[in-house]
Amino acid sequence: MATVAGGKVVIFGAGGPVGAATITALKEHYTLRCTDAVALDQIVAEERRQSVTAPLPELLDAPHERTVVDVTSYDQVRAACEGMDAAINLTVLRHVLDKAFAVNTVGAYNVAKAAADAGLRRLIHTGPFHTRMGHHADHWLDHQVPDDVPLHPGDDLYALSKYLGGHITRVFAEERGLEVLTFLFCGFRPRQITPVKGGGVGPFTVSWEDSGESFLYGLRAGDMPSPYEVFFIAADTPDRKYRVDKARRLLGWQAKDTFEALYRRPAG
Amino acid sequence: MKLAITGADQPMGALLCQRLAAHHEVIPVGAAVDPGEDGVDAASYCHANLNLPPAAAAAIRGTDMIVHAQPHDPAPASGTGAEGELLERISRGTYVLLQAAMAAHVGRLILISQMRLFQDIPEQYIVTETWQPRPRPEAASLAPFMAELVCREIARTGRIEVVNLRMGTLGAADGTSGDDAVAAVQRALVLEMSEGYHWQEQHVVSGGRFLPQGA
Repeated sequence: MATVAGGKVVIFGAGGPVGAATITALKEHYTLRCTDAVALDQIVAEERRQSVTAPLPELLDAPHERTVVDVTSYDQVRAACEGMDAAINLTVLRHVLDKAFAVNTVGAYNVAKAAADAGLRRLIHTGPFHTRMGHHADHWLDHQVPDDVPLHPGDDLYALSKYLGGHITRVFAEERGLEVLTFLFCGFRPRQITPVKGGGVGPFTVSWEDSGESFLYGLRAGDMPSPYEVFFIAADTPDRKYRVDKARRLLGWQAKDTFEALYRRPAG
Repeated sequence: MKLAITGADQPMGALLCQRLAAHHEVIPVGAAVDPGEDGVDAASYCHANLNLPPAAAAAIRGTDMIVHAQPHDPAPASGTGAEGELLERISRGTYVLLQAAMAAHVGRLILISQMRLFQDIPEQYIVTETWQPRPRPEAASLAPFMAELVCREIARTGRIEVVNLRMGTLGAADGTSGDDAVAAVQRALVLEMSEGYHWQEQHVVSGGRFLPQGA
């Protein structure tokens, strides 16, 4: 049984906004080992926000832990997995050639290998779903695109290097008995809809808060139909561009924030 | 035709450099400072770290096509971080090479990948090019698969053609002979891509379980 209803969870990339939301969602249910390439204390002290509305991570007291881990180092990743029940990989580096493959591809290899070597029950891997790649093989023209659709990253550095990491993680799931859930994200926005933000909501958007809660459902979910399952993590919007029912069926999760005020005409 | 051939410091790349030089102008490209393999023209040898865009651009300057043999038998890494180094060298190096090729308007890249990607499929099956590769969860097995994925997805954009030739161990009884390897690359240089696709793949084996039926 790969369900992780309690115990210890290591988070890689905990210093980013999804990491911050995940810490908030999991802290009362698991003992967390929060890791990032930069010390979380430094991220908070320097207010290193990804964007103006992006959350910063909470600095949790013991028994939670926080430590610096560079996912490009297998030894560091393996040590961070020691004694854990599950791992969540939120690491990403988007547009810098010198680090993109190291973090997004090699980092995925190190995390999957360490999770398998350490006997973890479940790994939640993450990546982007790019809605518009600017070539004819992307899925921008389609509707009701399902979670399991093959990604076509084109030559985009970020999309391609993460795509490779996803395939590596799939191979570990299929060959090493590690159960992997891959959560795909696209757009994020805060739960609170402010007048300044306004202006509609694009397809494939989720609130920071809902993104964090999706990991709670991912850890607690029952056995999956196959060792590697991919989920769109997004609000269910009436444009019918992307199907988000798989997360509801297999994880029991759906976004609470649907941003209806942004696509419904005001009454009267 | 002027060809840049990567992996010139390893057996497959060196063989292709040596044999194709009889018909083409060949630029041997390798990661090692010296070619190290017999038959590679040291004078034209280009030492290049393909992870670096300027080095990749310089290595392919003026070429008509590229034969990317490095993923077939990449130089092994050693020490701490060797697996990660290998994966990054092949995935990032292939990406950078393709970016350089597209910027230079090179029309086609021929990738030399590995038949080992199918070694764990039960022997009773007849494996063809339409089968999904099944790499092992090890860096050495994943590396050529990474090269394939990078090439396939970039080819899908329509900006460059890629012919993927999967070959076995050079000269092994169940691998690929030198003659077959050279002939396959020669054919790939002039291959007409089918039905508008920019990605095509072929298995090039001379014996053993992966030999095509009726061959």
